[in-house]
Amino acid sequence: MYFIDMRFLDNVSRRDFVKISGTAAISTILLSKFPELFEPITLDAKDDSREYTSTPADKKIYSTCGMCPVHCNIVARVRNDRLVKIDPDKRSPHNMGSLCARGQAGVSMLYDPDRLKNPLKRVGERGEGRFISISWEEALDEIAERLKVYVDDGHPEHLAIYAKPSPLFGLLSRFAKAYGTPNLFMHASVCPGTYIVVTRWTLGAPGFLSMNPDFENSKYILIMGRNYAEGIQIYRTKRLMEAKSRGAKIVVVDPRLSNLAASADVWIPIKPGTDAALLLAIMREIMYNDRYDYEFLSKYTNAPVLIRLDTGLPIRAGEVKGLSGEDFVTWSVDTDAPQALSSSVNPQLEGEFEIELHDGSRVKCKTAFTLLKERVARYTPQYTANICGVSSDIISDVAYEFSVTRPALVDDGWKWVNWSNGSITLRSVYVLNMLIGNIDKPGGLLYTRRMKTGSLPSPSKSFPTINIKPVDRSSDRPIAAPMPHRLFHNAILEGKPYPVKALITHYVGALTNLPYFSKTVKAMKKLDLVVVIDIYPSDTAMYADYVLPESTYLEKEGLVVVGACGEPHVSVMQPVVKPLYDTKPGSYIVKELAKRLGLGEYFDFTPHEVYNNILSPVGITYDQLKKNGFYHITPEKKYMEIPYNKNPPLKLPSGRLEFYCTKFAEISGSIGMDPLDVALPNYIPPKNTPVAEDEFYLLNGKSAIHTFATTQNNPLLFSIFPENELWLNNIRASRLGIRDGDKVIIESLATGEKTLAIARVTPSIHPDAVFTYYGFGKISHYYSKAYNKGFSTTELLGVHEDPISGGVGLNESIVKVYKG
Amino acid sequence: MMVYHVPWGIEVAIFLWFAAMAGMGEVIIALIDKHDIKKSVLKHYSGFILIFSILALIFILSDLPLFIGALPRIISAFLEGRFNLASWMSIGMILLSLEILIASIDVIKYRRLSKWISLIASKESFRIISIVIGGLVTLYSGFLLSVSSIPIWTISPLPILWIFSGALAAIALLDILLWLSGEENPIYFTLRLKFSFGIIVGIIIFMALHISASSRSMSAKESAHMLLYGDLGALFWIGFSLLGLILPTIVDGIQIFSGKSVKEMSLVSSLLYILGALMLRILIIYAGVPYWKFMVI
Amino acid sequence: MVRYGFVIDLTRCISCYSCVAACTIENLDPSLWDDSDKRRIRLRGGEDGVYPPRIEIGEYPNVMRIVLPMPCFHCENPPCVKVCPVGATYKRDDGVVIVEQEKCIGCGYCIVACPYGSRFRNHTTGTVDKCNLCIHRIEAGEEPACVETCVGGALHLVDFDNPNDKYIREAFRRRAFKVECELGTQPAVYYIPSR
Repeated sequence: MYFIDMRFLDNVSRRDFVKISGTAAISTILLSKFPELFEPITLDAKDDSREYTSTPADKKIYSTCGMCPVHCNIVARVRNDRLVKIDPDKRSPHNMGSLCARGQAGVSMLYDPDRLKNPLKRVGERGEGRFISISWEEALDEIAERLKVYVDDGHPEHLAIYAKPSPLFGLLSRFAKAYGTPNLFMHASVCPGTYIVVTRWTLGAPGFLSMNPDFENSKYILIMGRNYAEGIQIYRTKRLMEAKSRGAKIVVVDPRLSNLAASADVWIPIKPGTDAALLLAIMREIMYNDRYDYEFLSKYTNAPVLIRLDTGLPIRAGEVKGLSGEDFVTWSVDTDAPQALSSSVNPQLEGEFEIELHDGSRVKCKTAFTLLKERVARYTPQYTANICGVSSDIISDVAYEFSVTRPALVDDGWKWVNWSNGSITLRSVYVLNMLIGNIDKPGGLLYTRRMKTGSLPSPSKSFPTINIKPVDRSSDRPIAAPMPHRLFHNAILEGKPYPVKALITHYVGALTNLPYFSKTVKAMKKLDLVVVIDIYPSDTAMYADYVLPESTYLEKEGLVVVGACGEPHVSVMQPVVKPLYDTKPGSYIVKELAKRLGLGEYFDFTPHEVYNNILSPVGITYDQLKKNGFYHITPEKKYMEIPYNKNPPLKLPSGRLEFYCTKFAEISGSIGMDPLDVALPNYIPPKNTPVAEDEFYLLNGKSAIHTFATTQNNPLLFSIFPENELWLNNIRASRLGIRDGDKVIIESLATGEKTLAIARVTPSIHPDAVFTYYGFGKISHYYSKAYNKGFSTTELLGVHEDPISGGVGLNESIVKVYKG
Repeated sequence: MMVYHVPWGIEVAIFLWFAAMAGMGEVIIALIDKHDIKKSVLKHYSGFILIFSILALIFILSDLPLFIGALPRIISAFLEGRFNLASWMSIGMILLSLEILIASIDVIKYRRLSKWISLIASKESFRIISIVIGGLVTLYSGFLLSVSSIPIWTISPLPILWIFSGALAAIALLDILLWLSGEENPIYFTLRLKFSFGIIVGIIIFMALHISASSRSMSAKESAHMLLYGDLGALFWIGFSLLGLILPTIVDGIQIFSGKSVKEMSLVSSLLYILGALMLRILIIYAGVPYWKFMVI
Repeated sequence: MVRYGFVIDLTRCISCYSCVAACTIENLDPSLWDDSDKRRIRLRGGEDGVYPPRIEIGEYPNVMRIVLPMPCFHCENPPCVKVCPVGATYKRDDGVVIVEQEKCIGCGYCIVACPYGSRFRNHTTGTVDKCNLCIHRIEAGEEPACVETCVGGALHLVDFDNPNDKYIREAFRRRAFKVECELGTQPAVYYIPSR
């Protein structure tokens, strides 16, 4: 029962939703999930050991890394009850014997003296950060008592839970269901939202990382919207570097010379937000030189589907004279007449046709392919060069090389929530891959093979019915992913559509990951009850009434169904040391809270039951898994499965891959856009552009050193990357009189806030953009190292919603930069 | 002020200063022993030399807690035959130990603590040994730096600079003691020595910086740049050149050419020379730019 | 006979600092973890090893960034060994240059002598610390911590006495370079150039 977060995938009909859950495939939609051990062992930490070099005599424990959601396999080396070192698991095909700096620094987090040590209760004002220590019993009793009020009033929806899809998410969603609130949020609109929505409605692939680029076999790899060298997923990063050694050409499209761009063959410093134009230029090269894959397009995609020119929507068989049903229509080459898509043989891929309707009138239709071909016609290298700010030579070179090299691949990117045109851009990526028939083929985009697993045991009591929609649902965003920014900025702050009064957060910082910091802070201050479950006394914890210290991944037990690996993979998380201080696993917290709220029946299972339940379809037991550390299934067929022999995991409107996105076209009315503009690849310029000499796009991104905003205080990682700077193009900087290392003031036009930063003047960024790594500028003074180091971006970023996916457009805010 | 991170810091500058004054002081004692100098001046002077020698040894093994712990390790290295006589560090330890021994003998001699030892110290051979060891101690402090990966520390005029600048400081110290001994002899021989050595030091520094700035090594260039117009520029021009060299030389020049020596002027110029010598060493140490900062790949 | 060294493929280094993190946890006392100056392996390219790398060549839009993962070079002719007054640091038969902590007197002369900045003073012991190629791991049949964890697959431990080693062959085929051979140090670390 991890499905509550799934509503955005199939928000229109809940029936779909139930259907999928029957297949159990849904349970793996989340990147990972794992109930943890409920009975924690708590002992005072004795940590006097000065021995720090590993020896062969160390006890080795297989476990899973929890520093970021990729969840690599690790071997923990323990001596005298002290964790000495974390090694990568050499046998694991998931992380391929490597671990990144963050994974290595797990030891440093475990023994960080700044960690939360016991439950805290607020004594000062919110945000002041004054707390007293209380016992677990007191804390849980008091929280439960205050949570009971909303149930007793008949308004359980006044509680919202904001959490990252971490191990605990499954239990939290069951808690929400049992409590009766629909308001369980994950951070979709600031991270995976656009990706999930677009992949679902284009390729029918569920959830995070559901497409897996096959770097191993590709010869030409175009990467945009992603930075494998700094947003490291070892499984892919390593394969990409191997592809490079093998001789594949790697082209990185990024306004900044990211570490990945620096090690790529070609860096295309594109103007921020214009990626789609480049893709259209490549499509033009392919379509007008007939280098597309005719067979793939006509057999497996809806490219030959006829689109009515008057409505912009596909014509349905029921409308056409001589046909019936809801099916789509294509034009048959053989009979020179319309035919239903499901029974279509030899359809016309290109052309304009007149169709006679039932009432005898005739409408003009074109195939989706033709419509796209007409649309891309003007994207000549010269035209595109003007949009993208790149020389037309580069564009024509890339377009030509991409169109003639096989297999070539456009990586599907990730952070498309950063742009309000992100959904359409990602659609363009997928359509470009379809054009060259690149789906599930060697060297193309593969459907991620997931492990079929069981779920939590069903409770003896049925869940209360929830009749109210989550607060972020509204008619203008019909298929959007969860939008936590609406939870804070609309529901909590303005009571729209209905108020939310209590908040539980877990492993996510509302203040560090949502844009418009000042609004979020106001919302936090307005809440009646804030409970923060965290490892560190984080920024968000400063605004909490109760802070509950969670054990780290090295102190608790669990099961991880890994989603980031392209193949089915499940790993075990074992406690390698006894919990330090008075911390408890998150599962203990959820279960105890539930018990105190009278919801104990919903959590009436032992950990072993849960683990074995989940593992039962896999065919191994939990004990076997513990011994080996992980279980990996090499799929029998790695390629040519979907859509060739099997249907995509989630049903698509046309039953085929959506070259023309029917869903987007259907909702185009409610988001106020033209159907053809959203259903076909398109370049929609960003709404805001920097105009004046001192105006820039404020881009923000990940570093290879820190996971989101969570590890900045980790002693080792802090020493490597203590504070962020503002990257500024050297030519623009010299015009503004800014030199490297100068103090500059960044003034946001989106929020009006100002902040002080250190300038890094560099040639490696597009002149229209400034860049910084996010997650710095901590306001929690409990961080002895990271407090007030660098600057935070959240106060400068406004909300620029993607009308389709609800992504917040984190990179679309314009800032003024001047010398401070 | 931005300087490059060099592995050695101010403690080594202070060591160089002490070693230079101890070494050249020893040479001066041996040279003026026969001259008509008040014995009370030499009594104090030899005491200073002994203290400087000891401090030099301590400062080169700068981590004081480890210095105590290091003694057994040095001894065991001797016993196990690991002691590396090819290392300037080892040579320095031996030289400084010898220097301490000689300075102690001098102290005993001038304070008339032991007749027997005074007898040895009065021998001509002892004076020669004193001059040799004293000179070597100063010279060694230059060679110690020469085996480093910091190009400006390795330029050839540096050992000579240490000799002359050390001699200047040692003479200045003697000058101060002479004036404080209260004799009514207006012009001491130290005045002319100070003046001429000051000019020589200036010339050598010009040579050193010229060599460093025109060196093939980017690091050495950067060092010279830092000293001449970089972040250390103010300290170099005002702290060292003006106050530590030019001003005292002018003051001494006025005294020489006017044929009249003034106590206050002499004291000030001598003190400035001594502090200038320290400043010079601090500057050279901090102007160090490690080789790898400008590695060519 | 073996003669250990590294072949570092710069085309595969993504400057992720995992080598630095792994080495630090493996070899240094926890009190040094937050001190970026005390590192046995560094990523030269940043200011004193701090992220992100910042040595850039060229003008927008043709910019190249240079990063150099630098462990101790375990030179054939190590200048640091020659200057040790008490013979506490030496080159082993297998090519590894080590410091014997029990013999070191902490004078720091070898730190100054190393042209590559590979040595530092470990303030918890007072002695000099440096990369020892994780010999304790090699002897236990494992790879050095940095090599094992390298995400891009850039670092390789090689045996220069084994002419058939595929990474050594690769290094020669792709014109690997050593850093500043004219110093006469003859490092045992070869870099495969990034382009």
